[in-house]
Amino acid sequence: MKVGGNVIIGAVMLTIFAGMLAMAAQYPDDAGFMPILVGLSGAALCVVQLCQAVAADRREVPTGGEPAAPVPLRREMSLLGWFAGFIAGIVALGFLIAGPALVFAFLVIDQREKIARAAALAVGCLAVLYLVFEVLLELTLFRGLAVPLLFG
Amino acid sequence: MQLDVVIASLINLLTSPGLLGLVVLAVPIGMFFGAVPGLGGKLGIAIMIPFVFGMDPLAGAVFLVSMHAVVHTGGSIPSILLGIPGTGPDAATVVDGYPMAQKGEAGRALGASLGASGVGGVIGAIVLALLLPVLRPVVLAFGPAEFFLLAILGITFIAALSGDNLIKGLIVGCFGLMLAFVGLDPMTGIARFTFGQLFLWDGVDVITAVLALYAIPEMIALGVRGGSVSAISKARANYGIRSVVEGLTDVFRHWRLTVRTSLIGALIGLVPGLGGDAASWICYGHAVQSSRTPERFGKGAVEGVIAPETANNSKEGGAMLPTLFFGIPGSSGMVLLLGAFVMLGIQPGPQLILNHLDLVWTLVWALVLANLIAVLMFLGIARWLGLLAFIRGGLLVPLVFLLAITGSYLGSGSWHNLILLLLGVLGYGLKRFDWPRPPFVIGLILGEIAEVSLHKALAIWGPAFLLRPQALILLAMVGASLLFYLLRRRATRRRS
Repeated sequence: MKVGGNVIIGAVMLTIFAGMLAMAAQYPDDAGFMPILVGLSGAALCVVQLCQAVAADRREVPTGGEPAAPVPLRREMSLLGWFAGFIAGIVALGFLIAGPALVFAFLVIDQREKIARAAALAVGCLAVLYLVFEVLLELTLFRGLAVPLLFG
Repeated sequence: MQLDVVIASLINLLTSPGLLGLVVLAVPIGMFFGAVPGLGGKLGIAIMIPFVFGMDPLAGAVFLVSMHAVVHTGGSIPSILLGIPGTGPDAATVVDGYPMAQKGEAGRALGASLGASGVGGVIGAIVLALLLPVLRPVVLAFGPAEFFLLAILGITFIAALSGDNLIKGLIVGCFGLMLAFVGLDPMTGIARFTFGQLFLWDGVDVITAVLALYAIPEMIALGVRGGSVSAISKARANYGIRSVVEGLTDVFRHWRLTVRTSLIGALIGLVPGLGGDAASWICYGHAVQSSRTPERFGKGAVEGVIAPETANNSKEGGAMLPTLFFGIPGSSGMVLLLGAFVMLGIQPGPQLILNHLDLVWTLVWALVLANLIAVLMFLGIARWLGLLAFIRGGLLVPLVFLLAITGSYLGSGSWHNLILLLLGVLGYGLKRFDWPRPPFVIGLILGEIAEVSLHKALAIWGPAFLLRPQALILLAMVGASLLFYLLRRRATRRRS
């Protein structure tokens, strides 16, 4: 039997509620009351949802008609990876270095954009980040955890 | 009401080039702070305080109030065009505004948001003006018991926002509530669900959570799908000035909804401590529940843009009341405004209404004027903004990733918070498998209010707090809301 998306999401949610319930059980009564109340309700609803989703998956029979469009899982994973990369890059190297660099990398590698156009957009990003946030608004953007190690 | 003071204040504002110029200057600045995710009105006031320092108190107050009044008008721009809420309350606009942009109706959505913001802001100011004489009993009528029941009333809208997926909606709502409990427990001071991380002591940042649940999934979906935000080609789409005007007229076509949500927003803003963030979601829930065709919501219903936008702007008028007359900030933005007023030499409190009524009325008129000027300015550029929906997704995705991460960082001021953006992976899963996301935000926003108020109400009155007269009224409203939902659901099932 193929496991559907609703089953996966339901199971993830149930795991989260179970984990939070286990933690809430350790708290004093006043602090644990609401989390336990809401957590139990959420977990119970997840069980109902999972039962419904599993039943729905079992009922699903091949129709023999046109095959459904393939799920672009690889593309989804690639974009989720890029997003995680953006976060990791900015945490490591900060907004001013990693931001434009990642925009450039995404456009060249993922979108096969012309290098000149990608570079122009990356420079535009740097200008906006620096001029608007740092100069105009006098906000200090995060410099990155690795920058002091790399550049002293 | 002293009519001479009311009229003299208006004339003074309109005939003073200095004051009028400050309002005109404040409007684009306020819209800019609203339009850039993570900045928002609070930061806007904080940054502009040095600008007004040393100014005449009236001029400084007019500038700050005008700027703060239109923050959410600007916030609707990225919400509609990119699916990125500029501030927490703008997230409700994403739910229907972004699908409208996807359907090629970005201009109409912007027009509706613009009109609703303007009308909401004006009605909020009218509520402020009308309630001046009867303010004290209204504000004092609300205590922890009423806060708790108002929060519960908001949470009941989770059912209405779940559409056909009630169980899924309730699960997501419970998840939002659970995340609202992250941080230091307000009653015992115990750190809950913080995993030893200091940055979680303040709880989950609403802007980060909303960006993760909305902006990130939408961009991943856009990247997977390809093309532009608008699924309809530019040639066939409706993005000209006519569509913007159509959106504007939608606000008046749905005038009952516009007035109702403006009043609800102003009244919620009036209640100190409830938090204006709740206003837009409660009004959105009300729009869904009161619609004859609730199934259209979440798929690009114009009423889904009108309701939160009216509430976002009208609540600022309501929130001014307790801020000015009791020194109790009606919303988080008003906390900073209160500080700025004191710095300017304006001492908020009951004496203000007795001794400085002219100043109060000038601020009321500044609220009205700022909202009207914002409409005119926005109208001029809305058509061009609508073209953003036709930019190739491949170019937009990395820019929005960067903007969302910047917004999350600026919203909280902590890089640790960026880790929470990984909730976006779950958010994409919810979007991909058709799980409703609005209940999450309602749970997250109202969870803390509900918990703190419940503990306080129990400590003060015990379980008898439910028998207070105002509490009984609110309980009846909660019951009526649930009953209405159940009857509506039954009728829909029968029809289908």
